[in-house]
Amino acid sequence: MSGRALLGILIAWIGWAGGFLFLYAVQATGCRAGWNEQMLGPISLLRLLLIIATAAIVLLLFWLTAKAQRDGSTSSLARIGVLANGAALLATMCFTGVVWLRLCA
Amino acid sequence: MTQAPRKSALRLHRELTEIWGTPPGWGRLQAVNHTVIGKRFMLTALVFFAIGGILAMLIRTQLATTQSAFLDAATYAQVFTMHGVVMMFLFAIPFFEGLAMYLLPKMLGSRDLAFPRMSAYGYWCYLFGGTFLVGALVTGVAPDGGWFMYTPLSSSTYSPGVNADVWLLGITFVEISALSAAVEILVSVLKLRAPGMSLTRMPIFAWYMLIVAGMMLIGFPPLILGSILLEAERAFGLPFFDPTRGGDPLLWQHLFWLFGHPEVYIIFLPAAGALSTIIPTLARRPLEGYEIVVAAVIALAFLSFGLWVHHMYTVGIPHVALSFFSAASGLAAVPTGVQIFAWLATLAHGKPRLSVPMLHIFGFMFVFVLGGLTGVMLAMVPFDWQAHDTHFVVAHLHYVLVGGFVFPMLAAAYYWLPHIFGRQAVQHLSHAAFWMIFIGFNLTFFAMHLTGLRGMPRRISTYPPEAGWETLNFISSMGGFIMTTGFALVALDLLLLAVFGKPFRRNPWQAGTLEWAMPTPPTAYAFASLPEISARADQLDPDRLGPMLASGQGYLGATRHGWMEVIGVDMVTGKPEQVVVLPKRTGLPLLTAIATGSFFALLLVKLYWLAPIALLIVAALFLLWTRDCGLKSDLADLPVGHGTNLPHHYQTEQPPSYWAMAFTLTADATLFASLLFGSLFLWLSAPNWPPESAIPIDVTTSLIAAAALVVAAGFGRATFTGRTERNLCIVALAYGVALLALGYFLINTHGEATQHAAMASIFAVKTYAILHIFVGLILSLFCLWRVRSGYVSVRRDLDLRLGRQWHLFTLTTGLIALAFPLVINLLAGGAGP
Repeated sequence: MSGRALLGILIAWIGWAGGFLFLYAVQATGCRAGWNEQMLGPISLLRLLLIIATAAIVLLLFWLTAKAQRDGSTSSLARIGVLANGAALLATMCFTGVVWLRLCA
Repeated sequence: MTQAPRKSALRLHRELTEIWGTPPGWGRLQAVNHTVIGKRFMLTALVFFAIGGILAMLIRTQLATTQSAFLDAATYAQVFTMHGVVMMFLFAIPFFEGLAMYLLPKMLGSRDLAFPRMSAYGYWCYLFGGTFLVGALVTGVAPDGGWFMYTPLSSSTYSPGVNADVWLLGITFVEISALSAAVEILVSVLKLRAPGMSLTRMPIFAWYMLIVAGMMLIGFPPLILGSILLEAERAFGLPFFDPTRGGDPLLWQHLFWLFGHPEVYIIFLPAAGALSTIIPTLARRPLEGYEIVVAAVIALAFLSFGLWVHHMYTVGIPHVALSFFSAASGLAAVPTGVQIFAWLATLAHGKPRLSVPMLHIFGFMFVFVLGGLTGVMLAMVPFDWQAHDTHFVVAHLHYVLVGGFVFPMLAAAYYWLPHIFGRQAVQHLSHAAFWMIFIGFNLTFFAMHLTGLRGMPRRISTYPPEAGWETLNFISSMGGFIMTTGFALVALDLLLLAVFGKPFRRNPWQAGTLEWAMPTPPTAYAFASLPEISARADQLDPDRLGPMLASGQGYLGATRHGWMEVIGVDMVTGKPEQVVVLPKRTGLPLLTAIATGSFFALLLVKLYWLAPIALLIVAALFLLWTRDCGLKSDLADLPVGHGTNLPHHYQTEQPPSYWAMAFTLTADATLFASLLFGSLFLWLSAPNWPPESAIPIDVTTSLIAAAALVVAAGFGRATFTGRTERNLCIVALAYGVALLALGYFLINTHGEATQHAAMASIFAVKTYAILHIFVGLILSLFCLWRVRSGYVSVRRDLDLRLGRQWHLFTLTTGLIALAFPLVINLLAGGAGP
């Protein structure tokens, strides 16, 4: 109970941090492996992968936030969890550059 | 086993003082009490602050005029490096650690922290490590490569003396203190609170410290790892940062700033916690948006770990990666703004008292908001490219750190010093001191924005007259001297308060937090009995609670066997669940810190063959700490008052040490993950990959070691039965086999580790595994001894469960370490350029 309740207020941010590292790692690995030069129609393989990964992260955090709200506890800790999870969801805007910015140096 | 009947308040006070107090004379070296250790931390940090301040004055004297001959370039490099090192590592962090140690048990309604001896050990490590660094300055061998010690400048090629070693070893030594404090604070806040104090009834300061301690746990290991790797390169030639052998100087920057940026928030958030405590009291109104503030602090903590590259915008990182860090840097302003608006709303809705702490809060608001605004400017990549490495950045960081830490800490000092000394300020000098600091600070650092925008680089010792920077620099220097005079007045003011301040009865600020529900100055045991909390713990009535608790009407209102007892609670609900019996005062923390210091000193003087002996002595001393821990027979539940009986913590599922081990392993896992990240980063980014020679892979020894680790973890999982001794013998034997197998591999391949970063990475990862296996071996033998000595039973199997946590961790990291050469080989061979 204790561990879950504590995790509940951190979970979306843990997801955000994991997503951040994952995107950074995929971008760096993709540049190293030349995925940015493999074109799939109008966009590169690397950009496609990054967009899919970003969408997956946003959906995951959306689901976590919605789940926290659906659980419906009115306790103070649950309200903090909803606020913190919602903030993490909003913070995924950090990743939107994958759509248009230059991927590799 | 019963608790003695309630006694008179005076008799109870005498008995508790006898149990919890620190004896005078040499006995002070055995002090473990949180009040004593907290005050020592703060006082020592202030001494280092004074040293850092003197160094700042030397810098400003040097830069006041063009072509100054006051300091030569080499001395100037030591002075500015040590100014940063002292202020960041020896003042800011230890000061708030001390404040947290002093305040947290009192605010949480407990009598001490969870691991008092660890606090004492941390203090001695800090004192010795700090003295080590400052001693190097006095003897002219201080670090001189900037407080961030960038490679390749700090590599042995370009810094051949011991200066860089002093930084690497001294900082690692000091950071032991920070990590031990992080574990201490996390466990204490989560487990040692007054009955009924749920997480959301905690005073807001405890929330801040809980989150900061979590950040320290994750933030410091990358720095410690970076220091170890760089020292390994300097001492043994392992080329992690040498681009000619597959290393990369940028790896250092990543590891350093993975620590360095959260560090800024690690410094700011405790100060913000103090503000969130002081402002409501002075505004005579509860903090507005308690829940939103908690959520904002959580958000800020996570965001702070996504900013590290904003110190590296100019190193050639692709646009999309820059955008992640730039956006996260800008976003950090939002939760910071939430807190500032919460404070403003509290002031606006309340009836603020214009006292001296409030003056410093005003100073904070003005200076920190300006620093935050320039922070948002620097978070934007195009602006940062223009201002990078100029005095604009110096101005920004001082606005943030002095605004975000020094002004709040001055407010905190004026607010809590009456608690420490039992006297109120006389305030003859307080106002003049504040205005001198405020005006002096803004003169010094506002002008620095302008010199920076005019192109003045950081860390230069002289500049030519035609640069046009002299007038602004002269203004900065004059401002610096005014500010220093202001700090001297504060020191005098606080001394006057301590000696001539007006005594008071209780709670001079009419605060609603528990630290005022006790005599001031506080007794060693803090509370004669522990309160039951049924409301948020910043809206209590200390004037009513104080006398009630002093007369023993709360929990644990009597002594038992001379035990140092506190109550352990459920982490979330605050429901009491155990009696935690703390260990007695001892000189062992001091001796262990001396032995730890000897280890670092031996490395510094390059007596590498002796250093492991010092490490063994440290391990032996730590084992001695366990002499007075544990029970030799099962106990019935202990009465704690109010008709409640609770088990001794040794007989519970999750006592404080269980969580301490979990948090320690979390920090350990962060270090290991950083090591793996570093190795993969080198594969991705470093020149001269793949290595010319083959990467050594020994399948046989790896399989033997893997099988041994599985056996050790498998038998180490067993609970207490008649076969426990046999199981522990098998665990020790399996660890011995794993040690031999991995040791054989390392001996055979250590020569190759200096040839290329790939082999160096493998060497480092395997050394990590060997160290953990060695500790696992010691733990299994220790558990065997504890079982044979009667400390372990079905109800008292804590030692076995702590061992189980370690064995599982060692298995996981060990298997990764054994597979690591295969992965590197695959990557280097499969995706080379």
